[in-house]
Amino acid sequence: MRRLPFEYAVRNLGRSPARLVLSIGGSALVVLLILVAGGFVAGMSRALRATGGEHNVLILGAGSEESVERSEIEASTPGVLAASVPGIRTRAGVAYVSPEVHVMLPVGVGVTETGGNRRQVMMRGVTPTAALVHASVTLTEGRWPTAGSDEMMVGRMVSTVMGVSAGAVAVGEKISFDKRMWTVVGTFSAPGTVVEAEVWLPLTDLKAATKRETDSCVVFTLEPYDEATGEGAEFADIAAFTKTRPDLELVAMTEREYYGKLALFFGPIKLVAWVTAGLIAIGGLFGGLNTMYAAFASRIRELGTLQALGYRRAAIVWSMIQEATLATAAGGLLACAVGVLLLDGLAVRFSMGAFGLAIDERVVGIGLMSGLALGVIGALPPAVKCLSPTIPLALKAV
Amino acid sequence: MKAMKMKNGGTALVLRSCVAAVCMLAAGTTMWLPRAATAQGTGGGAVVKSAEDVKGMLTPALPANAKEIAAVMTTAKVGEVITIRGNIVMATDAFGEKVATFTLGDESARTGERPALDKLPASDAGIAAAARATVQIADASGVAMGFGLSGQQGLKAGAEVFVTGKVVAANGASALVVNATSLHVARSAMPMGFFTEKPAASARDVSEARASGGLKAGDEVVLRGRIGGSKEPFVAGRAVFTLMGRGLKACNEISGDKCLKPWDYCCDTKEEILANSVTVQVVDEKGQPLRTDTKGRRGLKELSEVVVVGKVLVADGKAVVINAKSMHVAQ
Repeated sequence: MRRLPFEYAVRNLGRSPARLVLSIGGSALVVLLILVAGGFVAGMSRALRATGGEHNVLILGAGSEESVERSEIEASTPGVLAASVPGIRTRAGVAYVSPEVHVMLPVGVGVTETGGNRRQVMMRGVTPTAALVHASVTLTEGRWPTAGSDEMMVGRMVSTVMGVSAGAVAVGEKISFDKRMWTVVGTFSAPGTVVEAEVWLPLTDLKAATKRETDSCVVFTLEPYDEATGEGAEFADIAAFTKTRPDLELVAMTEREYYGKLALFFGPIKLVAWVTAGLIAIGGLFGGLNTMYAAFASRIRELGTLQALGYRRAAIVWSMIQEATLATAAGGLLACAVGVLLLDGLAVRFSMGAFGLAIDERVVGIGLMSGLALGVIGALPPAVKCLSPTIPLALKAV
Repeated sequence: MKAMKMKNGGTALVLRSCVAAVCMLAAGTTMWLPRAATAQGTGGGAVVKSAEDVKGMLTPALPANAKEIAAVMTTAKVGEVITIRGNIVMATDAFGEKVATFTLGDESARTGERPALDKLPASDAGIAAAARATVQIADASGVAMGFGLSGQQGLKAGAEVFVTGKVVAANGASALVVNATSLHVARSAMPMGFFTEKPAASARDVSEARASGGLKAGDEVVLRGRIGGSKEPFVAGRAVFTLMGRGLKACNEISGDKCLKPWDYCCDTKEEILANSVTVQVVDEKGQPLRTDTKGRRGLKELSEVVVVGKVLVADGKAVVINAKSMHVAQ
């Protein structure tokens, strides 16, 4: 089959600059939307997946497996655990056992103790051992808060959650909580996790502020079990411990399992994101079809001439697909560039805090493929329609 | 006429393109499909070409309802797929040399002393042929593959192994050969004779024993109960489970209850469940729970009724923990 030269498709694109801009712009918008949906889903999944430490185990109150915020365990539990379970990691004699309180509470910035605009922020009451078990957390500025001094440290994305500028929650700024002002003494990062959207303060301070005596959970890190030496522990050892202490009413989960279940909970939201993107993509496709119909319909006589010159319909369809795909691929590339440069890492709020859009290679791949698909699918029906008249009829077309 | 042909030709072109695209898509999909069908070994879906590949045949979960070798010896038919449980015999000839076979024995049928691991005899005469099975990993033609299995993936003398496979030879009396499709190697073997065929006499119900306050640490006890008390009464990977007494009704015994996990006793309070339950564990010489599942052994599952013989480890008024020595699965 004799094919039309590639230059024919390329030069055709320039026949109507306005139409070309519309085609590129339209496909760029559609692809950008797909990138946003993909980045949203990937970002949320990655944040929840990355939040769990590889060897971390979470001890919760029995029946509260689905929400650490609802969980209550006796304050003595961390001590019992550390004494009873062999194989917990230690460093310089300090066990990797972190008793914690997790609670979502309203806090305000730049307001009085009680008034002003407040936002719900995840507060985590911790002891210094939290730094051992949460290896992804890095103090980026300032210092760790001191108990009894109304001090707290904030994650990198807390400003997004609170809807304020990063400077408003910088070290030295005041945050109102529990009818008094607290000083931000440190900021931390925990890349790619939801922890970055949390406010951390001393465990005793948070328990006093929330008038509770129990902890929410204990997070601890296991030393991986070594078959040869018999040292270390596995998750099953902790599960067995909780089973042999039913009076403590505890349940053990790996941190990854806990956040994995949370990710499942957010599954419908991810589905809605994809469906929305899909519907808008279909809308964009119809728009593209319209443009292509208009572009090809005005060239029926030219297409008839090409057939009269001996080019087969398949060759002409191929050239039309090249032409349409070039435009949409350019739009797709433009959208991917915008996505990678401007959208990647963009903070998005959700019920658990915030996460960054993840425009990773998979999402970019989906975007580029969508751009190409728009071109191919968008060109085929108009091409078939325009090639359906016989050559004599096509040559007489106005 | 020519124009008509051309018009038809255009439609045909589109149709041909669609068919070609579908074919290409199908061909592309086929290329990405796993090539389990081309496996040389019989390791189920796993491709087994070397001893290292045996890892792909291992199942993490213990298969339920595995039969003892002596019990299946008389009933197994050639071509039948069975699951058997046994221990690799205590002898230097337990494994084939440069051939993927090993001999599994039924320890409950042993006569005489069990040989020590550091003094293995040439052959294990304590287990009769009627209680032995030869397990092999065979190629597509049914011939055992040409590599040894000793020391691979936990396969060693004395190891407790669950084998699922096809019976390739059986004479109903003293020969049973199974081509394995999957294996489960228990990380800790259950003590010999742990499961008994008959229940120990004078068993007391768990609720009754707890209510009487007669359980003291160090006491030898015989308790009857049902496995339950939570959504997951078994600990995966450890020989630990909770036993409930008849003092509480399981959810399926309550009229109109449609609980999906009736063994969790969700209709009762935590305090009531605690007062009517004991935790049972099987421990090693260091007092640590054995690294193996109990669920699935002898058909053991949630709400199975069992009689446990053991020693009270903890009885502090709230929790009671029993170190089990033997157990009978009543139903």
